[in-house]
Amino acid sequence: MTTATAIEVGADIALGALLLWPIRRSLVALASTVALRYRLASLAVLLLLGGGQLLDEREATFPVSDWAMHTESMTTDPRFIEYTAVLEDGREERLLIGTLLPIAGKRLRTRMDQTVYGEAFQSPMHGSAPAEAADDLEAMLTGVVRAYEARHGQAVRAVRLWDVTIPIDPYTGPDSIKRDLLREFHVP
Amino acid sequence: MSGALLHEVASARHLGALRLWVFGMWTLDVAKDPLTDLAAIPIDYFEPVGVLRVLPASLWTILHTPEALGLWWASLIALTALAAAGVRPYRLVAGAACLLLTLYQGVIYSFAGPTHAELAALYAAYALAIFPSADGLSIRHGLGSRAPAPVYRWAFLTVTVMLLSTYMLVGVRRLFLGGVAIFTDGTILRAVVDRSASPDHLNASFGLQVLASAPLTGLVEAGFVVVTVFEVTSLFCLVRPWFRRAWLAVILLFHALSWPLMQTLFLHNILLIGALLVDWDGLARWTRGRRARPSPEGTV
Repeated sequence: MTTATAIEVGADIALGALLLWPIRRSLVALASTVALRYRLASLAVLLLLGGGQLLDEREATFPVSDWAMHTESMTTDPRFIEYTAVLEDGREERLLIGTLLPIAGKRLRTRMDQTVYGEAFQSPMHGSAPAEAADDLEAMLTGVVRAYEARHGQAVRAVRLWDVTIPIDPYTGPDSIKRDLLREFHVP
Repeated sequence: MSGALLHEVASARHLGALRLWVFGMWTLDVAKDPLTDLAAIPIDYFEPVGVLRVLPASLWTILHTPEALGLWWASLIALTALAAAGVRPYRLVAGAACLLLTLYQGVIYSFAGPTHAELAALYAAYALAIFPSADGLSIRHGLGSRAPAPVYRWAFLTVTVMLLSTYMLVGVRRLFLGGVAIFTDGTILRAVVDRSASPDHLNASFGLQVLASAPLTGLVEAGFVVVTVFEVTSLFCLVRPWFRRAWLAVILLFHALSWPLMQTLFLHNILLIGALLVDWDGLARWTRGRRARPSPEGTV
């Protein structure tokens, strides 16, 4: 918790009160007819939300969470890792991780990207990843490949990881997208 | 100023319908993707979040087998379905379902990283376990005493305020952290391009099509501002019906476009919005009124 988040949560409370001000009498009248335990339950729900925002540490406090989306400026070109399957006939298909392992969805793909690149794409490992991380990634990709094969009925020979950067300022079409092969895993 | 509250006529039956909706939604959501799929992910990816950290690490190694995950999955489907049906003892059943749902979401977040996408629906389930939501539309219907009528309205309002507050918190945080710059520095365009092109669900990169069109680029950037304004003022939905309708149009469009543009679908929120912010009784009355009204020619 920081002073800034405390000020922000104070602003949340003030804004909430302001927006509900026109119906305050109806709310108070209704609250007065409800048992104390239910009023406390409602208060607990609101404290859960405000507390999560105040603590701002969702990994440590789950199921209490902060509520944030698109809060930090993105000023660099979009960059991500493309996973492709090389099939037995030589064709190359995209591996849509979120669809192949839907229970963990697209967030799992982000976690995989971090295994390859490290946090925030700052230090690409380019084949020099720690052996343990490389083993985990290989095991993860094996699971993805099995899901692909079960879904499409086609055997996969290898998985390729591409470092993709999309220059957007200005964007001059699909040909301007940069794709560098990072590594290739052969499927056992 | 109108003093009338949204859900003014909410009854035990309405709250029962909400219970059926929320726990039914969770039952289908859990059943859709087998929990056993997590067995394919290396256990080294597992970094316990929040309350899961208080449980011994060895427990997760034991649970990380197709058999144990399958048992957990089946139990969760059964419990959420029983809670949806409102079987007795309701609070015990619904409470157990909420605890298992928390662990379920927690274990997914522990493998893939936490998000708040499903949390409003989880909190709604907790609220419905606490309030007497099995007094209507349940198989225990008719047994035991009912709560005073205002409790059902209060419960509905609690869940609605909770849902709307999550939007408000998101909008306010964006203003506090991003300031004005976040709306003018191309952040949303970069996010759209990044999230629509990454290999998650869709092969078509709609974000690149947006980028190639000046009018679409302008619409996305303007839409980011409009959505933020509506997020920040979400709670006003409880005050003015016209604002609620405008909010529904803007936020539902935002959620619908988030799928092609960001490969993200806030399905739980969309379903909660449908249950809590659409005036179904009013719509039914309006529909009945139109049917009953004779046509100008005197024919029905």
